[in-house]
Amino acid sequence: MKIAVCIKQIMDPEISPRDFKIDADAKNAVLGKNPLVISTFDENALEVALQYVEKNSGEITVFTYGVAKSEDALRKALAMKADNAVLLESTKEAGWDSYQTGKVLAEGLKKHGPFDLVFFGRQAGDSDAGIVGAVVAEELGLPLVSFVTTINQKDDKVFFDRVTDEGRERVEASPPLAVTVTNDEGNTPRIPKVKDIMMANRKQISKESVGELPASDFMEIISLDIPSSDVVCEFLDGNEPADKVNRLVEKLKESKVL
Amino acid sequence: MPTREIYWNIDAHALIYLFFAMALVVFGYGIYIRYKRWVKGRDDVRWDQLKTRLKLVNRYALGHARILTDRYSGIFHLFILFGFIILFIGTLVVMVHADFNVHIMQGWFYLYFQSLTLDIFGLLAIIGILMAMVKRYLFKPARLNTSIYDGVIFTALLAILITGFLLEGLRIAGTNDPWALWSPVGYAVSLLFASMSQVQLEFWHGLLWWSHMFLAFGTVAYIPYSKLMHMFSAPANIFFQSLKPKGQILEPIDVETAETLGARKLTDLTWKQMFELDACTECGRCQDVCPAFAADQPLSPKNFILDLRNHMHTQALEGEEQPDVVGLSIKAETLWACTTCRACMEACPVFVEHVPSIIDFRRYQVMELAEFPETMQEATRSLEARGHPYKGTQASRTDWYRDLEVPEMANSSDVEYLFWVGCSAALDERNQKIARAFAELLNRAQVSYAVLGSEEKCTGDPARRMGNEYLFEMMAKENIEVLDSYEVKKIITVCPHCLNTFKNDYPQFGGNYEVKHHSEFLEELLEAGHLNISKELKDSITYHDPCYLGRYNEVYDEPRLILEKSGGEIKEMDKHKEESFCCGAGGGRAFAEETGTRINHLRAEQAVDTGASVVATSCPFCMTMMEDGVKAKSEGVKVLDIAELLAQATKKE
Repeated sequence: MKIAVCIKQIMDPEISPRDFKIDADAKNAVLGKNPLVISTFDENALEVALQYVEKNSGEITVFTYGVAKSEDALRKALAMKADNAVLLESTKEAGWDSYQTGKVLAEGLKKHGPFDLVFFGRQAGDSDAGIVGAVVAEELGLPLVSFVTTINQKDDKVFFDRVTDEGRERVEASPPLAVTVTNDEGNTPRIPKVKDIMMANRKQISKESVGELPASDFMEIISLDIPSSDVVCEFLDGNEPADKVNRLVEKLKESKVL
Repeated sequence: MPTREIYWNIDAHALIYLFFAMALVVFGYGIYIRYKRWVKGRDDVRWDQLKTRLKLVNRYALGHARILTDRYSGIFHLFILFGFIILFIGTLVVMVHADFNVHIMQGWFYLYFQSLTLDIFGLLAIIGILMAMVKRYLFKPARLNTSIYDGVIFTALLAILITGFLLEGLRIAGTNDPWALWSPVGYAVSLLFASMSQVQLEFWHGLLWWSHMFLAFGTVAYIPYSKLMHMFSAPANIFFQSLKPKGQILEPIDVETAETLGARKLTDLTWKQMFELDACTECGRCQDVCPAFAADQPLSPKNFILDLRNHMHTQALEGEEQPDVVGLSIKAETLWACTTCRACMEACPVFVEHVPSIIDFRRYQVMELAEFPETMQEATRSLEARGHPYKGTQASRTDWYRDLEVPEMANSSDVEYLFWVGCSAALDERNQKIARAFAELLNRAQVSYAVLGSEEKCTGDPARRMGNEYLFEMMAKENIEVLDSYEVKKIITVCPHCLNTFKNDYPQFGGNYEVKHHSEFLEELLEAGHLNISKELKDSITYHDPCYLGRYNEVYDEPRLILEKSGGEIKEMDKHKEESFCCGAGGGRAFAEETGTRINHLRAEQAVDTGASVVATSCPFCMTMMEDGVKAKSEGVKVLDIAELLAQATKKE
């Protein structure tokens, strides 16, 4: 089985809110000294792929579209024991247009493919758009199984456990297909072994320049700001609890909450 | 001239040399099989600084300095040890006198030493053994496990001593010894035989003489096959102890060239780590002081050592096929229960070094297998990505001084001290108050200092104690680079873990600084009059010694002095200073789920039981643990850092 996992390097979503700053003119978040990590669901996707290969067989290639620094994300994926890594290198930070990102990835996947399974995280940890997986599936003409937590194979049938609004379901589908992965107890990303980290640092990463893409036709960010929230605290008078409740109801009606 | 007839009533006594040679062969073989196992360990140099080492042997082996911390056990051990040493010398005297024909056993020496002293020490040895038996069989302390072999040893030793006195009594009775009163015990025994005929006396004497000899030689031969081995291995282990600073118990690994990272098989340990397994006397003092054991967690430092010993003597130690220690002889959960508090190492009378071995096995689990508790994995990921172990913290490193005047290194010049805040005091909401209080004190005393602010990263202490030496080394090198860029020479910190890392770990990577804990620094400021008490505290305070400040770096007095000078009345917990009981946060445990009782609840109970109204500490990790524990035990008792207390006491009106 030939497997691809598409990952994205993002600004650490766990940083303190105070360390999160945006540049309103550039309409982008400011990285500053904040760390870069692999988007969380993408790590889950890689973990599902790794577990599948361990139980069955296959070769995993990780793809990312981004600037030179994204190499760190690929090295980490290699340390987790992906076999190959491809950096679709842009000279400028990839924008927020998921369609464009999807097209770039699809081109890369076509060039290195065909792949039996193409994995994505269900959505990126920064934009939370959740579009890229579907776009790539469309571009490559593959069926898409979304919100997958685990993959099992019996004989030549592949089963996908997925989370739905109603609960969980098991889907049988035949590759080639695209898969988006959501987090689950069973797919917590592994900690790499030190020897694998050192090996990963010596591995060759294939880098392919995609240059600077033209401005997006599909999407434009008009303005970007951090929503401000003001908290006003008011103590309600009243001797008896019943008085206080009445005052509270009044207040809530005044502010049109009720 | 006073002396006695030697080998009275004994024919062919020279045979004893034959029997002794036989005993020595059995003895030597026993030592040899052990030796063959020890030397399978990795290299380590533990015989440098001969003079210091001999002094330590004198103090701790002959002088019993640690054994005597349990007075009763110390005394009986002294009686037994010196009883047998003196009797052994007495036996040598006989040999020299009778068989080498150097006549020393006569005159005053015969009376004072060979008769009186030997009798007294023989009697003391008997008393010592009886005391030991009372302790083991009647009081049955939980730390001792008793097997049939303990009975064998007691019986053998007692039998040697008793047959010795019976022989002396029989000889006195049989020879009408004119100097009998110089051997008071032997003389008293001889009175028992007053009614015996000469023939009877000679018969029993002959029988007992040979029995005594066989018992003694048999016991000598038995030494290397039993717990008695400790009479050699324990002093040797005291000799081979680490002479490095107490806080420096871990060695770096060359990650690039090491065959195995950490210990998989037993022989991945050093010969010393293997040797000390045979030095353990099974006294269980380590278990008695272990916080994890007290909290019913899956670790007894004693059993850890004994399980390894058993592994050493029963498993193959050759080649790569030899079995993994963890899984077979040691449970993985045992490794993760250790808080690295060093209480076991401080209590061990023979200087077994438990913690470094635990960390060596952790290293393999973490670096080679990547198998360790999930919450610790989370902390590790965070250390890697964010430079601190707290995933999802709401604070940034500069938050705590937003409204304070705290200079940053990047915007200062000619700063004398770097105030290293540490992750816990910078990022934990409660502990930010410690950093604030200390900064206020520094400002008040007009100290030339600055912080690194957003350039500060974890020292790597949790990574190292969790066994991730690779990550630790990277973090250490990165930090040393930052410190070098500001030419930092002097560091003060409010965190004993950071303190220990700078002081004892970083020199291994070329980072050498003058490092002080805030308790030491504040005490100096007080002493020099840079801080003045304006408002005495008038609280009764109990002080919890952080392990990494106390046992690791031997700072016990300064925090107490600060509390006293601030007007606090100190009420000590039973377990304090060297015997302090860990809060449960060390060794990466701050980031692990606890099973069983919580260690911090045990410690909080001890603190609350003093009746003090304030629990003081001087470590942000202890703060988190103690506050959580004290809240669960008692309302109204406050937990405060010494810096917070001193800031209160020196506040200007």
